This record gives sequence, C-alpha cells and structure tokens, in this order.
Amino acid sequence: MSKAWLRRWRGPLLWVALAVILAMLPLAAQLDSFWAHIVNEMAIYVILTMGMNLVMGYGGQINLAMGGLFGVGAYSTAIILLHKGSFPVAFVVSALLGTLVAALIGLPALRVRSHYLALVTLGLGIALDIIFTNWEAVTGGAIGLTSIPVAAIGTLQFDDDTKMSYLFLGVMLATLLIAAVFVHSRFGRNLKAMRDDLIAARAMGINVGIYQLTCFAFSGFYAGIAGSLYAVWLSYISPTSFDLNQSIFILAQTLVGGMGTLIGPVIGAILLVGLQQYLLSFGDLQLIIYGALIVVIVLVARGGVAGGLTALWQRLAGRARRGRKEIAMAPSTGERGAVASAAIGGTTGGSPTREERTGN
Amino acid sequence: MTGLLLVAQNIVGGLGIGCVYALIALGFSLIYRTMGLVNFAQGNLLMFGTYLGLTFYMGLLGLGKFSPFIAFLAGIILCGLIGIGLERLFRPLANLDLSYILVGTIGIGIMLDNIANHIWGSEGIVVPAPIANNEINVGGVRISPYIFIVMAMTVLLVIGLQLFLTRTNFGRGLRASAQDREIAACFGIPVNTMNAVAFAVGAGLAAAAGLLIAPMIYVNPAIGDSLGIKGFVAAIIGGLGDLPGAVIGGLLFGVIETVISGYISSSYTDLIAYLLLTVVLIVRPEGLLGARTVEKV
Repeated sequence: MSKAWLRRWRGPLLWVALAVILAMLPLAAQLDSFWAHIVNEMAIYVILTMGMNLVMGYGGQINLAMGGLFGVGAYSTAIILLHKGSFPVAFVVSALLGTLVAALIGLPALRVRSHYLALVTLGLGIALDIIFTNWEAVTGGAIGLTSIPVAAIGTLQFDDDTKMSYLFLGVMLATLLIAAVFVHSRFGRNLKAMRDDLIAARAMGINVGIYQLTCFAFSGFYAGIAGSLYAVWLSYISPTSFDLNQSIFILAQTLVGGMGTLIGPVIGAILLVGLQQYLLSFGDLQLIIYGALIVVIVLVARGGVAGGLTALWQRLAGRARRGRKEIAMAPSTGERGAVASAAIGGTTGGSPTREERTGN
Repeated sequence: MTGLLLVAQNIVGGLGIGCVYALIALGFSLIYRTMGLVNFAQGNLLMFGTYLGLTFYMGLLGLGKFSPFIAFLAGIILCGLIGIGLERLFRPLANLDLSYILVGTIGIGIMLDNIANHIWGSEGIVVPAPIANNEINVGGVRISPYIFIVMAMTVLLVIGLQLFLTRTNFGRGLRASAQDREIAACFGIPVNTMNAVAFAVGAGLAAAAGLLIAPMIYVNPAIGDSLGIKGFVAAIIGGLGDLPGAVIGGLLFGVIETVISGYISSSYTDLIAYLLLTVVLIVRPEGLLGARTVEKV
C-alpha cells in the first residue's frame, strides 16, 4: 500500500522538493530590492504560465484570453483595496472571479477547437481588455488605477519588494503544489487522455465537456491569483498590461519552458522574464532581438527546455538500458520520425528505439 | 437624415472597409490552404508593406516621391519578397502544433513591428488621399470618392488572383499542391516553391490592403494588430481556406462593424464584433460557407 503510494507520488514529491529549494534560494540570498523586484515578477509569471500549461499542455485546449483573465484578477484586487477592503478578501475574490470568467470563456471550447478556439479566446481576451479601457467609472479607463494600497495580512505589511517576495514565493509554491497534485490525480490522467485523443477519451466514458471547462476554470484561477499579486506588486495597473501581447508573452514562456511538463513553465517564465530584463540595456533594439530569439527558440527547441532535458535524460538512460539488454532495433532516421518525437518532447536525432519513445 | 439613408450610408462605408478586410482575409486563407499554417504575422506584414509603399508615395527616408500607382506596386512587391523569406523560415513550423505556429509567427510580428519603429519612428503619419477627397452626394447618401478607388482596386486584385489561380500553370500548380502535397510533388510540381509563391501573394495582398486603407486612418506601427485580427475574423467567418468565402466574410464583417458603430457605440464596436464572432463560431464552426465534416479517429 504505502509502497504503491510512494511509487505513484515519487515523481511529484521529488519535483516539489526541487521547487521548494528553488524558491528558498532567493530568500536565503537576502535579496536587495532590485533583485527582489525581478524575483517577484518571475513568481507572477510562473503562476501565469502554470495556468496556461494546465489548459494547453495538459488539457490540449488553447486559451489566448490569459492576459485578459490576468487583468480580471488585477482589477478585482485593485478595486477592492481602493475601497478599503482587506487583501485576503481581495485575493480570494480575484481568484474566484478569474475562475468564473475563465469558465465562461471556456464555454465555446465545448463546440470549437484548434484555430477556431484560438480565435474565440483571443477575441474574448481582447473583449475583456476593451472593457477595462472603456468602463471608466470602475476601471479608470485607459489611465488605469493608481496608488493601490500595499498588501497586508492582519498587521503584516508587505510594503517593499523584499517582504513581498516572501508572500509571492509562498503563493507560487502553493499553486505549483496544487498543479502537481492535480496532474497526478485521476482527474489529471483523464485530462491527458483527452488531450491525446478527444474522441477515444470520450468513447472510454470520460465526460470531455466537464474536463475542458475545468481546464479553463483552472487557468482562470491561476490568472486571477497572479493578477491579484500583480496589482499589489506595482500598485498601478492599466489596460495595456492585459492585452493580447500579454497572452502571447505567457504562451511564449510556456512553450519555451516546455508544455505538458510541470517544471517547464517555471523554467520558461524565469528565462524569458530574465531575458527581458537583460535586453533592457539594448534600448531600441530590445524587442527586435526579443522577437528573433523567440522565433529561434521555437524553431530549434520544439519540446522547450524541459523537452530538451527529457530527451537528453532518455538518451543517457536509453544508452545504459541498451547496454544491459542489448536491444538493437533499426534506427529510424526519417525526418518525420525525428520531428514527431521532438514535438512530443522525445529524443531528437540519434536512434530512438520504440521502447524509448513509448517510455515517456 | 432619415433612417433608410443612414443605413445606406453605413452599408456603403462598411463595404469600403470590408474590401480591405477581404484582402487581408484572402491572404490568410491562401496561406492556410497551401501550407496549412495560420500566419499570425499577417497584420504585421500589412503594416510593414504599408510603410514600404508609403516610403515611395510620400518620399519618406529621403526618397523622392513616386506616383501612387508605382508606390502601390512597389509596396506589394517588396512585401511579397519579405513573404518569400518568411516562408523559408516557417517551413519547419507547418507540421507542428498550432501553438508553435502561433508563437513563431508572432515572434516575427514583434520583430517587424519594432524594425518599423526603428526605421520610420513610432509617431505615425497622416497620408493624403491620391485623389481630391470631396464627399459626393448620391441621392442624399454622402460618400467619399476614395471608397470607390478602394472597391475598384479590390475587385481588380480579386479578379487578378482568380485568373492567376485558374488560368496560369503556376496557379494550377499552387492549387494542386494545396490539395495534395505528395501527389503534386509526384507530378513534378515544386511544392516548396508553390508555398513560397502563396506566401508572397498573401503578403502582397496584406500590403495592398494596408496601402488602400492608409489614407483613411492614421498610419503607425501598431495598425497591423487590429487590422490583422479583423482580417482573420473575416477569413474564419467565410471558412478558413475558402477564397470566395474570405471575400464575402470580409465584406460582411466590414458592414456589421460599421453598422454597430453607427447605431450602438463606437467604443464597444470591437467588443460586439468579437462577441458576434463567438456566436457565429459556436453555431457554425466551419464558417458560413464551409461544408460540415465528420471527424475521424
């Protein structure tokens, strides 16, 4: 019993331990406010990419309204705090509203897929941004909301970046933990079955619609939380932070890290936020280089960083296994095979045996 | 002004802007049909092509001024050349998941936007119309004569595209490789070249659309975003990959948008348009003209 339990949860437990260590590193390093600021930004994007990853990497849906949902969370928290509400209340309301709006946006997913779903969610995401811009009485219009109070829990004031980083990293860890439990549960396995073959999953008796909606709701939950943190982090929000570009930025981070893996989005968010900071010094050329790098990364590392690492690991492990069992199967050198296995985060190049490819 | 006249006015204006959407939608559909790839950088190509054409038309960057027609052609051709380059870059993406295509093409879009920012500046320019823009009055409906130029050029381009696709060997090869890549290749059709041509034509159409709409808007490096999305919406309404559908979708979207802004609210135009689109997609996901298909496992 306990052995089976251990075998099943060994992966996620190891992973969580790694995440905890990663999250503790910045705290242990006694960050100055400059670095704490960047770490906080990274934490916000890790939460966002994890939401994107749940809906895209695990659910096989596409959600380009992520930027708008992020805004729903941010505006909820900002408005509640500006009306003298407490931060814990604002935080919970943000998460719930994000969940609710995302579930509504996910409704079309029951009918349409692929490009069409991309377009619907993209349109609805922009629609949210239009509401932020035009509903001036509540959202402050194009100027946005300023001087949002700092987050406070009881007498605990998170009034500078270093203090905030405790809160942000803590929330980030909690969301990662939820995601890890979620994808390793029965629910998560059904979700992956649905992603890999919707019709077959339906034939196996999985209620596909519920799963699709839950995916969306989850992404909104994460976006709402991230938005709430964002509002108290900058103490200033405006509609431009929640437009289509934001959704694309989140999507790019998810892809760069590697979709459908737990560690991928973390890597992606840290890499791209870091890259953006670094490129600031290039001034005018910053975004040109940024765009070029995104294209290069998508073209070269199709499984993302996590996919590349998995491929490397499998290659090493596979070599060891081959040595023992002396499995010698004909190498498949066809371009199509290599592309296909790269796309699912498998081995690139070399000679992937059938065993390795089914191994992931 | 009576209600009927207002409707007529909105419809004429809507058809004018709809022509522009139709051209963008044609580019989306053509590229999707041949390569199976949605080029999300289409809007950014439009912006870039517009600036290229305007450089000749208005004598930007120290170039002399050229006649509107030559500038129009130059913009289309130069943008087409960029399209050929992009096809080579995107070739490996076509077999991949939609999200990779999305991020890859959008990455290119970010680059184009910021290169344009770098070259032409972000201030934006007012483009004079090539003909005197005195409104003419047709039975009480006030129409800007420039709209007719937009319509005429669109009709010319659509007819030209149709002739190219059905009457020339090149066009036939392009359609063949769109229908079945492998078999077309067996018959000696250079399918990759055909993809490049499709991309070039798509990019050229985007540039044409941008140059046609330029005198009606304030041109800046951000114009591609909303125009590109609206063109994509038009392509989807007509059924992605369906060329006549793209034209109809474009005109329809233009009219709907103008009527909404005329009657309901101009600041919520886009919002209503997107909600409408969502409804259309939920009711008829294959587009208004698309055939229903049953998905196989």
